Amino acid sequence: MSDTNDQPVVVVRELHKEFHRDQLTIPVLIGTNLEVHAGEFLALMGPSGSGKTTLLNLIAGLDRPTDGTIHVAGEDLGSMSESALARWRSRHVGFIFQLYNLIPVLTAFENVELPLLLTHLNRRERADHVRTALEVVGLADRVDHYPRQLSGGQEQRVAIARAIVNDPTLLVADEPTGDLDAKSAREILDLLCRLNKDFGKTIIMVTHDPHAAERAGTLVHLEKGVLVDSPASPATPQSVQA
Amino acid sequence: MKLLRYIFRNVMRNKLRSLLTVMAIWMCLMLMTFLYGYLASMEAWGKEADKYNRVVVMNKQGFDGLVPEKMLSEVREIKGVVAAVPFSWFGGRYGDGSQFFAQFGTDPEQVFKVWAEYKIPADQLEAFKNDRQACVVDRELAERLGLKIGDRVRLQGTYYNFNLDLKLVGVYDPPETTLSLFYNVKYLDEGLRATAGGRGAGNCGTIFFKGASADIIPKLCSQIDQHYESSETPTNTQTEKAFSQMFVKMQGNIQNFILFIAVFVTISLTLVAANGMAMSMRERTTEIAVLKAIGFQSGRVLTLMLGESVVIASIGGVLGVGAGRGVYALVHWAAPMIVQTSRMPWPVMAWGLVISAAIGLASGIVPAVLAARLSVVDGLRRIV
Amino acid sequence: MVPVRYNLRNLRVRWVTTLMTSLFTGLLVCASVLVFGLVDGLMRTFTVSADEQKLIFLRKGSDNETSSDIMRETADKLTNLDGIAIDPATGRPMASAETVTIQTKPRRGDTLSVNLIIRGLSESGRSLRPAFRIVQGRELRSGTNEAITSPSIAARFQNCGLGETLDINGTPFQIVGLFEASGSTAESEVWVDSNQLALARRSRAESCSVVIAQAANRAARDAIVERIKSDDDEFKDLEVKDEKQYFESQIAVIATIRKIGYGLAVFLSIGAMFGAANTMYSAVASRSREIGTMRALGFSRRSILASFLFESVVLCLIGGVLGCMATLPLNGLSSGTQNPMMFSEVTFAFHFGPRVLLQGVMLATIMGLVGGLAPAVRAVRLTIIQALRER
Repeated sequence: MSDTNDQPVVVVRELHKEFHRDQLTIPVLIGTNLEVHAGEFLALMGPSGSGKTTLLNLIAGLDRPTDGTIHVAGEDLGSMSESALARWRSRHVGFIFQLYNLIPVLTAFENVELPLLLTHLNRRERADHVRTALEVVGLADRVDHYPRQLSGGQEQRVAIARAIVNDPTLLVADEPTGDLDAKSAREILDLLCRLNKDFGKTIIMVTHDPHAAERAGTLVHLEKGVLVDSPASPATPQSVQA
Repeated sequence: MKLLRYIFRNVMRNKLRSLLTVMAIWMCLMLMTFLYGYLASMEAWGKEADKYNRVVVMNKQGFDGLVPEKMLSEVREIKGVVAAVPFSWFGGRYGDGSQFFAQFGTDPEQVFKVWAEYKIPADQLEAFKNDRQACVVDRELAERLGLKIGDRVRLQGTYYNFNLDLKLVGVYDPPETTLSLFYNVKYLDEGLRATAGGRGAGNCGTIFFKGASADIIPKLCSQIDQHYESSETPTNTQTEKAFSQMFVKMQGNIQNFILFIAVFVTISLTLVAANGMAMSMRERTTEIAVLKAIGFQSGRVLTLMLGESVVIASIGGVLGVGAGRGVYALVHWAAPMIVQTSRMPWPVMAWGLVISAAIGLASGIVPAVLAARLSVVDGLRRIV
Repeated sequence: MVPVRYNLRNLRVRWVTTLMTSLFTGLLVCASVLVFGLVDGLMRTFTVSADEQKLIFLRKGSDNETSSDIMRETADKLTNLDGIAIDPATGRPMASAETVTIQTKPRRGDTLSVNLIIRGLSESGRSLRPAFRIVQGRELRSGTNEAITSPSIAARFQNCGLGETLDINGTPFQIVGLFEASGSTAESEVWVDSNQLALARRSRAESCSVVIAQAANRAARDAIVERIKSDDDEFKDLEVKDEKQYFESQIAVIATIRKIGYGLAVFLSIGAMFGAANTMYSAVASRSREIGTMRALGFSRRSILASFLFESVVLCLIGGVLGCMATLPLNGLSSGTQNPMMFSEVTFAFHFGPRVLLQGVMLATIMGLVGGLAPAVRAVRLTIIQALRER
């Protein structure tokens, strides 16, 4: 699935994004450049309004830039139609949201199964994948529970299982611990690290929690739409240009 | 009055939801207003007829029975009978048959005495009396058929084995549209005797006469019926109003059927409105709790909620009744044989408004009571 | 695509709204189906028998039996025409000269009277009605003042019950039997012996209203029709229609009533649609984030739109099916109303057959589709980001 380590999985060049509200045009990203390598665990930090979630959304194919290019696993996202993007996302991106965003009327199993419904797998194959994913996140015994029967931490784990079940190229997480108590937050971060180290998953995480950022391998800062250099701890220093 | 403003603001809050509820009520009440107006129109003839003291004599056995010419002269002799005419339904086909109207064979000398409220110019009446092949029509029929004085009117006989070749000599103005044509029944009689061996000739069909006053009419009716009871042609004599109701009754269970549908529709609309209110309430528990925390009393909250559902339903009701009235007028203009009178009795419209208000009350009562009884703490808890 | 259970479970979770929406949809579908069933029942009365080889001879220019008259000699010639089938049981031609008259008679439970058809016919007339059979009492004897009628008329009109005496033009006729004829128009009539009817009416027995005859076969039918058309001296005053053509004009009126019925159903449905749309808009609004999530995961706009349309249709179908089932107990309930063509009472039975029920189900489906369309479009209108930001 992943490319060789020296080819970046994500290449962002001269990215511009503006938002329009009433008559005003608000620039959120101004000429951003970024590279993410396979197997990297990148934390994206910055004050609110800095555009970090916007950048994440653009890389994940949820939004389109005003200018600039985004390439993920060699594919140019800008050239895809909306339906092509949707198909692409289902195969290449796993989402982890702050509010989990599980479907309330579906069980844990069914929630995790959702992305698989967009593939050609038959029922048995899907069930296998779902059970594997739930085992990885440690929730094999909660398969038939509804979200309302789970704690916050458990819900997020189901969400993570849903995110990995399709073996995507990239995992994107937007404030994954934002709604959790300290203990659950730690567990989730442990899980993410495991996915990154043991399974080689590429993860881009947006967060404003320094404890969460610590656990990542690389750290970048966004300020007022511009990436600024910041020494990472430990691992590889990432050099970015504003 | 501040309460009213708050009620309106709440209605406008979710404009789409309020609009959809209003539209549902509008649609269905428009239909019901029209249907009930139609039912009422069937009775219109009877109601109008009350004032004119006209009485109808027909053969007891039915329209098929004979009402001989001799009976007409005898009825004319009776004290209290101002004028009497034969009135026989011709039922002929005009042109290609697409335009349908009533044609009656009668006596030109007395017909406008029996129908004294119809206005006709004196010279036209004279022409009608003098020309055996003359006919007169009411103004609206003349307009619809595009007829002018002097035009020929040919009617193909379906009941009678004789076609009428008539000349239009007059146009009369009745207070309410009748879409009828009068011709001289003697023309038909002579024609039948000459060509069809006289079969069907000499039959008045029915006799319409005008009584001198309303109070003598019941006595006249029984007098006539008793007189002819044991003859070969026993009669059934009744006021024009009763006669008209006979036709209405023939419609059978249509009235009950429409009532049935009306009940269904009312219940449905109540559910539609209640559904809308329930959805609104679900979203507003916190707001209600806040209102109560501020100091609004339960009674006020109840009024507020009820007021909202009543306002929505009433808007739908006003629109529905108005549109129903409009559709009624449209159908009367396009198909006057179906909807025969242009007037809709105001009780029909009033009932529509009352029912819509009732729908408003019924649909709002449960959410309103629940809201009024909501404990502040419970409501506020949902915010957190 | 989007799993069906997603929609079904959501319907269950919001059960109060689901229940109310189903109820009002059901009621409006029920009302519409009742109208359809009434019209269908009326129609069946006139199409039970539409035999192209059964001929109805009328006076030229008259629209129907009640306004027609035929001289007796002509009628006799007609019954002996070449090509008319012979009844194997009696050896006589299957032709019947009949007299039809309309009398005003009171209904039970009412003081005012309505028009009732009295038909005078001879024995041969029975074989010309579909599946005629006596179901109670016995057949009338010719030459007597006895009468038979249908159970429906007996139940609805005064003096028409078994054993009762009906006055026809001053002459009493006793009802001695009740008959059925497959629900055809015959069941809206009272039958007596034709000679006795003529006597009662004190009319000349030299004429009758109509002659009805069964042609032996297709060729014979065509030959007879030709002969009448050709304005042959004997028959120049006559015209002939086969049963199918004869009822066509009556059916035309019912077709008009049917159109009115459909119009009614359309209005009621539009009302229901607005109500269903309301429900679905609310559902869409409260599930905005779920929709955003599914779209983020890769579900196409189209699949989500279809999903909400499906939910709307299921919602209305629940009510629709219930509404259709609620009409079933009324199936076969007989009633009567004015037949405008014959200017007299026609008996019919409500008929809720598969076709009418299917119409009801289709109506509910359309309500769901049209009512749910705008909300479904709204569901996918937002961008994914906007949808994810909602409440």
